[in-house]
Order: sequence, then C-alpha cells, then structure tokens
Amino acid sequence: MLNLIIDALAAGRVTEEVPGPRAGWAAAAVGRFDLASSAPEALRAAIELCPAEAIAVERSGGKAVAVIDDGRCVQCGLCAEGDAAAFKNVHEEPAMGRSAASLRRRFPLEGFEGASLGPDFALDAHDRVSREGARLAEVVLKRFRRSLHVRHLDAGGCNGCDWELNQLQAPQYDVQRFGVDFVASPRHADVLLVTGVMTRNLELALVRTLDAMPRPRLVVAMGACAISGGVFGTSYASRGGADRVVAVDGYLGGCPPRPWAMIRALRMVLE
Amino acid sequence: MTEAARKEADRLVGRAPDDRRALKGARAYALALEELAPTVGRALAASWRFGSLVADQPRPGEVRLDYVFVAPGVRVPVVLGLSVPPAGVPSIALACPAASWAEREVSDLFGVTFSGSPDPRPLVHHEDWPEGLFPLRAGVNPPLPVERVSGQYPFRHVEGEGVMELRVGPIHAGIIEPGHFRFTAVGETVLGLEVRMFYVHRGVERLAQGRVPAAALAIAERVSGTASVAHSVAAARAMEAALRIEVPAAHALVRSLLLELERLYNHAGDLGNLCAGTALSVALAEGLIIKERLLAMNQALSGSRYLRNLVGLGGVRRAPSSADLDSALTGATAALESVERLANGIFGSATNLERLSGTGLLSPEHVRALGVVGVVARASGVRTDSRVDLAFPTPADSEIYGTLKPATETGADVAARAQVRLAEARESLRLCQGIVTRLADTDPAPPGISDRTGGEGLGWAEGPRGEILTFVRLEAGRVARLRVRSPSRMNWPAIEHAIPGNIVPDFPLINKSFNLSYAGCDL
Ligand code: SF4
Ligand code: SF4
Repeated sequence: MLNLIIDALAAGRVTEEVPGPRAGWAAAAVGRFDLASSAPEALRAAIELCPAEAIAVERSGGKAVAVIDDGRCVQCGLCAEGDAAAFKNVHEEPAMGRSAASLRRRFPLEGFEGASLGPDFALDAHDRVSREGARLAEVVLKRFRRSLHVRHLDAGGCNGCDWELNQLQAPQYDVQRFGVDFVASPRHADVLLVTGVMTRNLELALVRTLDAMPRPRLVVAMGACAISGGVFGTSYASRGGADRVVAVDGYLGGCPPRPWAMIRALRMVLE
Repeated sequence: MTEAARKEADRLVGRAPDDRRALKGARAYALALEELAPTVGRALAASWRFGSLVADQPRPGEVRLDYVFVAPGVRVPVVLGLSVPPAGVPSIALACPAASWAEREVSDLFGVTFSGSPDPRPLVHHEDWPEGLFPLRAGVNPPLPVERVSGQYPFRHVEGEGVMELRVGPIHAGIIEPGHFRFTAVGETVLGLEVRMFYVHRGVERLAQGRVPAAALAIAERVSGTASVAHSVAAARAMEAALRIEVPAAHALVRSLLLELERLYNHAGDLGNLCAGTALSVALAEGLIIKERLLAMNQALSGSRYLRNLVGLGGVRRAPSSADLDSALTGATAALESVERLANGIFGSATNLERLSGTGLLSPEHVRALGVVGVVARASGVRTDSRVDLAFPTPADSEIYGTLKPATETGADVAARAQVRLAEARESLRLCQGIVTRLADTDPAPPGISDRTGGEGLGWAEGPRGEILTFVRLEAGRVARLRVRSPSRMNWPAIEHAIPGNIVPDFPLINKSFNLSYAGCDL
C-alpha cells in the first residue's frame, strides 16, 4: 500500500495538455474521409466495401454527387485503399453536429479535382485538449453552475465507445477538472450520453432512463452506432440510431470517437 | 503425436473424416441423428471440450448442425456434423452443460427444437418476441421493426424464510454494458445468481450475410471492442481456410503482434480495473494511466486506439514500418514495468489481497463441465489456451509460439485470475519481442490471395478473454454464414457458479475478475 502511494507521488503530474505521444499523432489518426477520385470503378468498389453503408451517389439537379455520411462511417479506411480508393482520410477529427443530417457531406462528382487538406487537419493537435477543455469548463460554469452530471447508457454497441468514455477518467484526461462527473442515477443527471446501436431489447430501458431524468436535460449520441447504427445499421434486432426512439441534441461520429473528441462534443451541445 | 490423436478421434467417432464435406480448418465427421448422443458421450469421456454449435442452411428446407469440439492433441477443431430437419434433435445439454446456451440460441434463431433439453427457455429473444419467428432461417425477412407481443420470462425462483431477491440491471450504475442479474440472498450472503443477457443482441451474424470479406471483417472487428483484433483474426482465418489462402509469414507475424498487444492492454487495464472493486483508488488510477499510454501507443502503430483496420483477408492491410514496431516495443516494455509496480501494490497490500483471496471461487469441475475458456479457466488450474491446443495456420507463428507455456494458477479465485493476467502480460511482451526480431529478417510480401469464391472454414484466435471460434461459409465471394463463438459466451454461464456463498458487495469484484464482454456474448 505504502509503495503504491510512493509510486503515485513519484509519478508526478501525468494529466496532459494532450494525451498520448505527440509525434505521429495527427498522421496516424483516422477521422473523416473526403472524396479523392470520381472514377466510377473506384466509387463502385468503395460502396461495395463500406461496411457501414456510409457512401452513396445521389443525383441532384442533374448533377452527380458523392455523399459520405460521417454519422455512419466507422473509419475503417476500406474506401481509401487499392482499387477502391475513391476517398482519402484528410481530417483527423471525427464529425460532430446538432443534427444527424449535418453529418452528411456532399462532393460534386463532375470535374472534381481531388480532396484538399481540410483546415482542421493542419491544426496542431498539441493544444487541443486544453483549449477545448477550457471552453467546456467555461460553459459548465455558466449554464450548469460548475458541474455537469452525465449518465451513460450503452444501447447495444461493441463496448468500444464505453471504454473510451471510461478513459475520460484516466488521470491524463481527468475530465472532472472541467466540472464533468459521471453519475450512477439518471435522477442526478443533466446529460444522457448514449453509445451503441438502439437494440430492440434496450428500447424500453432507454426510454425509462430518460423519463427518470429531471429537466432541463440533454441527450448526446456518441459514436457511429448511436447516430445511425454504424456497422449494425437496422435489423430484426435493432432500430439504428438513438434518435429513432428519443430526441437527440448532439451527435459525435467516430468508431469509437477518441476521448478528446468526446470532451469537445460535450462542449458543443452545451453552447 | 498429432497423427496418433487424430487416429484416436477417428476411432472414437467410429469412422474416417467426411471427405465430401468441404469444411477446412477442422476435422469433420458426418453423423446420423441417433449417433449424436452416444458419440458426444464418448467424446466427453475422452476429455473433449465443447466449443461451438454452428447451425447453417446451405440448402433451404434443412438445417445442418455442426457440433464443434476441441479434442486433446488433435490440434484442429473436431466437427460432428448432422443434417436434420428442423425438429426433434436430441439435446446433449444434460450430458454436456456447456452446450445448453448454444442449443437455446439455435432454437431461437433457427427454430430447431431440441428434445429432452434441461432448459428449453428462450435465450436470445426476450419475452416480447413473437413466437415462431426465427430470424436466421433462410428466407425469413420480417417487416421492421419486428412487432412486440406481451409475455413473461420464467426466471428461476427461490423461496424460503429470509430469502430476498435482488434485481440489478439491465442498466448499471457505472460506465458498463447492460445485462440483468438476479440474486437471491439471505442477509448478505448470495444463495444463487441468474444472469440474463442478450440486451445488446445486434444480430451480428445476420448482418454479415451478403457482405464481401473485407466488409464482413470490419463487422467482426466490432463484435467486442477490446477484442477487435482477435475477432477479426479468427474470422479472417476462417475465410482463408475456406478459400485456401496462404498467409505470408510477415503478415501472420504482424497479426500475432497485434494479438499480443491487444492482450497486453487488456490485462494491464483489467488489473487496474480490479481495484475499482476493492476501492483501491491509487491503483485504479495507475491502471488507467498505463492503459491510456498503451492505447495511445496502439494509435501511433495502427491509427486506431483499439488496433482496428489492419487485419485483412490474406494478411494485414498495411505493414507497420520497423520504426513503428520499435517504438511499439519500447512502449510495451515501459508499460510492463509499470504493470509490475502496480501488481506489487495490488498483491503487496494485505488488506487488498484479503479481498481477492478466496473470493469468487470457480471449481475446475465447473470449468470443464461448462467449457470455460481463457484466463478464467487457467486460473482454476485448467490448462486450456488455443495458442497451444490448436495448430497455427502459418509455420512462422508455430515457431514463435512453440515456447509458450500457458500460465495457470490453482487458486480459482479473484487473486488467481489477477495472477494469470500478470503472468500473461509478461508473456505477451516476451512474444512481442520475439515477433519483432523475427519480422526484421522476414521478407515483406503482398497478402495471400485466391481465385476461389466459395467454401467453408473454421478459424480461431486466442483473444484477451480466451478462445474465439469462428465459422464462415462463403458463396460467390460473399459471406453466406458467419458464426462467432466468443469466449464470453462460454464464460457468462460460469459466473453463476462463482457467486453463491460470497457476499453481494463482492459481486462487482468477481465480475471484474472475469471481465466478460456482453457485446461478445450477445452478438
Ligand atoms: S472509412 Fe467510412 S466511408 Fe469509408 S468504407 Fe469505411 S466506413 Fe465506409
Ligand atoms: S461506434 Fe464503433 S466503437 Fe462505438 S459501439 Fe459502435 S462499433 Fe463500437
């Protein structure tokens, strides 16, 4: 026991401005994919391979557009490889927004010159957590009097999103420093954070959990599953995204979204 | 030795393997319906372990049942195959309790009825599922969402003076997955526990049907978040067996590296997480720190904190550079040093150790009867590890794992499970070192390919929680049937036997020591 405490003291401060190794962070991370080629064969192959049915070609006003739905995309990268390389991973950050529709991006297919690097790709990841975290703390201070109580509910995912949420409590992130706390009872919660696809066997549990929460309250869908069903989509066993069953105030894409993106998404819905 | 064991298996079943059956990666025998029970009886007497029950409909109108066993020394899964009309199959669950959930699942999804079953209750479907609707049967496409009916699930019921019933879940207090636990207790002492699962049943197997291999692998990767590599490797091996694809050495080695890194971050995280069950918060925080470092390292190596998006058909989709491999090794080595210090704290504190010792006992008899796998089995003194029980499809892996001695403990309690995890974390690092050295002088090669588009195969992988067995049937380049048997599926029923006699507040601790995946079980 004593040794543990001595070790802990010796470890010093591990809470990071940005977690993880800095070198290679941005380059290696997968986020959002932009159209890179309008070649029909590549697009066809990408649509066939996409496990989440996140890619579509639509016609609007006689023009063809490729649609990529960041609310479905599980960032597998299959549409950016080999013969199917119609897309390219250019944004490190996953998508977030206040409506599921806002996560759908369109790329005109005629005369398309290829994707340029998005502005957020060039951002230095180094100061991201501290900056976003500070903004979150500000909002929490203003709207929720310094503390935001979050109740988590897994509606039927692979558990990847849940583990990432759990990591928010790792000393490197220490989400409590921003005034965010995970609570056991929905009666104490301001925010319901949903991960996972809406399974048939949990619909009732989700509705009841929300009913138990006092108002004002917010619902945030985190991860491709909670937004659209992700790779699990809609089936005999599931309804797709959480918003098929309850009203959702904010969406964060990713499979799973990384912890810093979760911090950012919490801020977004509060603003 | 393997040859002798295979001949012995032939003798036990009373015939040569079925050469009309195109199933690869297994030794498959064809059985008549009435031969099933006696053959299973002899198999259990010869210490065969029940692995999986695969129901499939290669032809409409009939259901083929494959009973998959792991037999000592045979080094490939043994399959006893039946072609039956979907009714009146004799249940083997009385002789082989390990098969009970599997039979119940097949009844729910395919409508096969098992006669003489000790527990014919539904499993996957909850009480509001319409009767007679079997969602995995060929041609069944109910309008969505499937209607709800009213019904009640017949829980086991215990009565007596002072007996209380405690119902917990499906939604729990922390950031964990949903499942329902029903305790009966007298005072603080638990008499019995009933576990009810399948809240996170997503229909994974059905969703994979009709997908091309790459897409199906991405789905398999999402069966259970912290076993992404293991599930995708098991599915890839099944497909490669089916299509007779040879995986080049360099690719097989990178996969093994990923599997060991996955084990390492899981075991490190689990050791820390255990301390949430004993309120040892300094160690809990330490565990989270170590796990976070390992996840960040995974991302630097693969782009994904959960090592996703690398395993592909025929190998890996991208080869990590040697610089990437070196820094992963450095990171893993540093993490293990921290794990050692953490373990000193966990086992060195008398008050903490007191909570772990003698808590959550699971007897080796229960382990064998229920076909328990992985850390939980090994901590009860049952030496089962698919990296030793089964042969690797690639020789390069066989060499690396030739020196592996599965860690076992005989304590059968929470402490023993923690000890096994510690020993395995050390072993994983040692294996990683061997793999990286070996990779340095292995020629890079493109992934293996094949021009076949159909076939059947069984694949396996030893994930952080234990053995995964995956069956795949491909037709015209698409998945016609994916069947996943996760370690958690075998181990969940066993937790019911590790709880009685303990106090209710120790349940979270015991549950953490099992660290089972709900998603992996429920599919
Ligand atoms: S990266 Fe996203 S859009 Fe591309 S194939 Fe994967 S899931 Fe589909
Ligand atoms: S979004 Fe991805 S990581 Fe999250 S629960 Fe779904 S499959 Fe798992």
